Amino acid sequence: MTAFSDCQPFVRSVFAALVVAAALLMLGCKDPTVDVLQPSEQFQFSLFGALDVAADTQAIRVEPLGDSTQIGAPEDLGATVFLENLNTGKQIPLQDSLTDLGVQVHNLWTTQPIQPSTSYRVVVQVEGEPVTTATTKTPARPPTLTHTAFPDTSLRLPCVFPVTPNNQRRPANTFTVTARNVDRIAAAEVHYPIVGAPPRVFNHFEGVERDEDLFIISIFYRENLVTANPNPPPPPAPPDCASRSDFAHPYAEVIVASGGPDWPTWRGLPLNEIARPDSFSNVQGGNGFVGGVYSDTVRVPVAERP
Amino acid sequence: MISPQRMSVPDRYAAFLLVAFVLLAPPLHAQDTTGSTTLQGFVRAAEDGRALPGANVVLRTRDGSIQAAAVANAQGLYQLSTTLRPDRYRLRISFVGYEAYRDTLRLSPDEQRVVSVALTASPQEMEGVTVEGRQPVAEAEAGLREIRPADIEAIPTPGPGSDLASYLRSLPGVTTTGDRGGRLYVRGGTPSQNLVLVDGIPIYKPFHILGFFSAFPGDMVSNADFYAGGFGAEYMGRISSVLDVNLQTGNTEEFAGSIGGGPFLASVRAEGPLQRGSSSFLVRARHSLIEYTSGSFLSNDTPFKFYDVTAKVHTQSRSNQCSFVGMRTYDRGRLDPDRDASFRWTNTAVGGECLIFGERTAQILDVSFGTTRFSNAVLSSDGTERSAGTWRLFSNFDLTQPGLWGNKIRWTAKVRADQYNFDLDEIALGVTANDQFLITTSTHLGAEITWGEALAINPSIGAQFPISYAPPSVEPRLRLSYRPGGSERTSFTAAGGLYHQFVAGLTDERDAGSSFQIYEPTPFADRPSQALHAVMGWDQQLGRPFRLSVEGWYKQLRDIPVPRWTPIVRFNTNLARADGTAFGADLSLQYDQGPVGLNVTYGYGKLTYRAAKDRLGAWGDNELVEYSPPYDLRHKLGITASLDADWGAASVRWQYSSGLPFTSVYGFDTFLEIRGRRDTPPRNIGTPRTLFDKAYDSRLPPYHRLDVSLERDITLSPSVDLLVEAGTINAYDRANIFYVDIFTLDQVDQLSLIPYLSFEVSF
Repeated sequence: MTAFSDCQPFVRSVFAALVVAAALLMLGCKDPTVDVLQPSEQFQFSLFGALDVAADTQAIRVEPLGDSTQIGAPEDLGATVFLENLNTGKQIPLQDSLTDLGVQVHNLWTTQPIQPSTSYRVVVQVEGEPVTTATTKTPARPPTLTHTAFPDTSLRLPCVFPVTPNNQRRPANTFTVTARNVDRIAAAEVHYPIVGAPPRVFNHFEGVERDEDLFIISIFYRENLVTANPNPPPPPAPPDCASRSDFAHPYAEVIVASGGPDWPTWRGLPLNEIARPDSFSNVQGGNGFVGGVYSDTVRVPVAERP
Repeated sequence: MISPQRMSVPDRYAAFLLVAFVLLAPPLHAQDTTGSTTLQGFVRAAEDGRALPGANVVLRTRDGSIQAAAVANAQGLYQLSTTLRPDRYRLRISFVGYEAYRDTLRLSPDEQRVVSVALTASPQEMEGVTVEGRQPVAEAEAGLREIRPADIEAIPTPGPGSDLASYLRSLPGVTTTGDRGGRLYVRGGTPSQNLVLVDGIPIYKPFHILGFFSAFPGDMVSNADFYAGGFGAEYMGRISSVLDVNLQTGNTEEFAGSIGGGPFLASVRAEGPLQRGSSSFLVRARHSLIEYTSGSFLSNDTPFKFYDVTAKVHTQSRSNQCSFVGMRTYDRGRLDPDRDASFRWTNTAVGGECLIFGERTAQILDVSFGTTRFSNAVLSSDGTERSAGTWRLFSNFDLTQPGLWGNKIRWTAKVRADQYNFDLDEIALGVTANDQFLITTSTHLGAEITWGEALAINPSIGAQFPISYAPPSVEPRLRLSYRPGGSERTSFTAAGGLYHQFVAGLTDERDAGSSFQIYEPTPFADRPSQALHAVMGWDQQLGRPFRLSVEGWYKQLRDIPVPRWTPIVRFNTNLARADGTAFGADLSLQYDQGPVGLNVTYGYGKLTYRAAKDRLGAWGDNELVEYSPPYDLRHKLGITASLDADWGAASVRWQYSSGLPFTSVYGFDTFLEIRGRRDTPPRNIGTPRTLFDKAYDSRLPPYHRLDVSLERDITLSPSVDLLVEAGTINAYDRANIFYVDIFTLDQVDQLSLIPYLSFEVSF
């Protein structure tokens, strides 16, 4: 076996270089760090909300993007927000309310009335300079809602028991509301005043069908009333609807909102598509969507099933 | 008839190959008229009965000129076919470190003869084994690294013993995203595009959660072929790389064993004859200890547990051999010690392989069969679990026979049935559960054609038939090597071909802290993943101690399934198709002189994916999104020095890698679904969103690390040896970044300085 001292000078040099390099690295190298969060000047706040002409209070969610609070927002928003009527130039300051929904969020609100067929702009200012804005226009009129109390389009209880698990007798457990005088539907919701159940709104936006100038909203209420049942039957009995006696009032409320002229056509798209920050956003200097709606409500009586 | 003008390039290539095969392959019944004589047999070691892959077999005429030559393959099998006159010939079978076998044979045309030999170790020749045991220049092949035990042992690994995983991670074209997680990326490919075979049995994820270790401890590897690209059509179904490992067989002559331990793991090995001289067993088991020992000497929390058990039974005779292998691996741990997500994966494989030939035929039949199963899961702190797995049953037939003029023809037929499933017990984007079954047959025809000692060409063509799922694929490939004037010092090599893969691997590429992998048939069945490889190499022996290897490579990728992008913080099973281009070059300079070995490697690579913005679901200004995925490693430098002295052995390894890409975020928010007023500010928090900036436009800081190891072999008695290893991983305690958790913004580092002391007693 050859001794190391017999090796070529080149090899000895390489070994020496390795030792020196290691020593230098050991002494001279600072441990690396990396900044994953790199806030943008271009996108500073996200804005989400709908200005409803029929509502007595408007609320807009405002969230700073570049802070290190991943879910929710810091206590100090670091901005002032106002709503500007672009038709009159009037500015309405929005009040900041730090709401705890499990995490802290900033909902900016006002009780000032919103006018139909009017353009509004939400403006977020930092140190007096507007950095994020969203502009929208409210609809001219609310939808004209009708509930026709035909036997097969009424809310009738008790629900018809499903014949099989996959056949829940949909027509017999469905009522229908129609909407006219509207270009686009922004929302269709149902509220059942159930005693003992937390207030809850059931969304039926995806069930809206258009027939020329008429929008038909078919509401499969069995699914809603099983969920809202304050006294569900114990297993193994199959789930059942809340009964008529559980209702605080003998009617359900159907709230339908028409959308303004810039309301997007985003029905049927997967959540992933509409959540892309560059899709369906009307926010400049940030992300999100602020729209204008005009809602109306129709009461649907709860009838006893013969 | 197909008009030549209407044939695609692959079709024309395939037609050419078929014509070549017809010309080169003599019909089986026509052998008597060719005058071709065949010598074949096994070359094994006399002291333990193990195969000697790489042994040289030379047949000379009486005047000393070479009539024919061959090299024993991974199983120690050689086949030598030549057209000769009736006469006496001198046969020499040699392997470095062993006394050569010499015989004089009287051979006549059309003769088939079996000559299997057992070579005796020659102590005076053993000094050079470590050096010369490496792949010589004359055997260099494009894209191929023939790995021998000596190569694996040269890489410092926290013992006891060495490991193939440490060696693979040192190669310039191999990338990892960290020192844990068990995922290897080869020249732009992803882990699901790598084919790993153990004695012919596929293993999906044999690399342990700690990157130094795999199911292949160094002393279990007889040899391994690692193709970083350009592999022949005998390997089908994957488009990036092939690791074909042949496990060591047990000692057929005497019982032996070892037991060892260190801070990382404990190991035990037992082997011996079942029937002396003809059959043996070998059992190897290792179990991690780091979870229990790290508290006493490490600043890191190391919540890792793994084990592997391998058993092999082997029988052999002069004209056949069979082996049966069982393997089980288990890994469990948290990649980020501060996160609660616990990963777990297992491999279970059982199979057999038989190699058969006879006195009166020139055909060699290799039959293999078996089953393999992989499952993995991640359990989150909220109790939800993602799980996925795949199970395969397979059978292969591989026939080799001599062709005209001493060339060889090889044909394979394979059938496999795969079951794929996954179940995501959580809210996810896309399908959350699936269970699919797929039967695939494949076939290949290949030839080994040589012109003198200068030129060797291996054309091959393969076809895959995914039954009732996708159209068949045809995959022509070509490998060649040229040694000017038959030189032993210079070789030029090239390889390339077309590759298809019908299986997609689905992982969250943007979460480096995840090792969870779903396998499923590609959802784009009409357009399976496709790669076009081109590799060119140059190997040069520079004087006696220096060897220079340079290899350039290029891969064109099409229809690679990648997860559709989403700002929503959920696991995503929606896939999109991306095309890509990868290219690079590897350079290696080796110095081997006496006790000193030095290996300097450098690799450059660049990988770019392209996809339409809408198809990918990306955001930004450009309709075509171009990005470098998180395993696009640009520069990798490695320096390994080893010294084998009287007092023991030492090795030092320094490695440097440029930073890997990552996507920075410009912010976070909660998305309120204004559509349908599902979410309203007073009532709903919304869906958390991560707002990514331009894709993979940032890079982590460079990675570098120094590992040092010393070992000494102490003879305790004539039959008992003690091997003591001491060393340090990350000697200057560099805080290399593994990844940054974008949800907590915590930086997760790779392993810090780890000293170790291990021992192994062998008897």
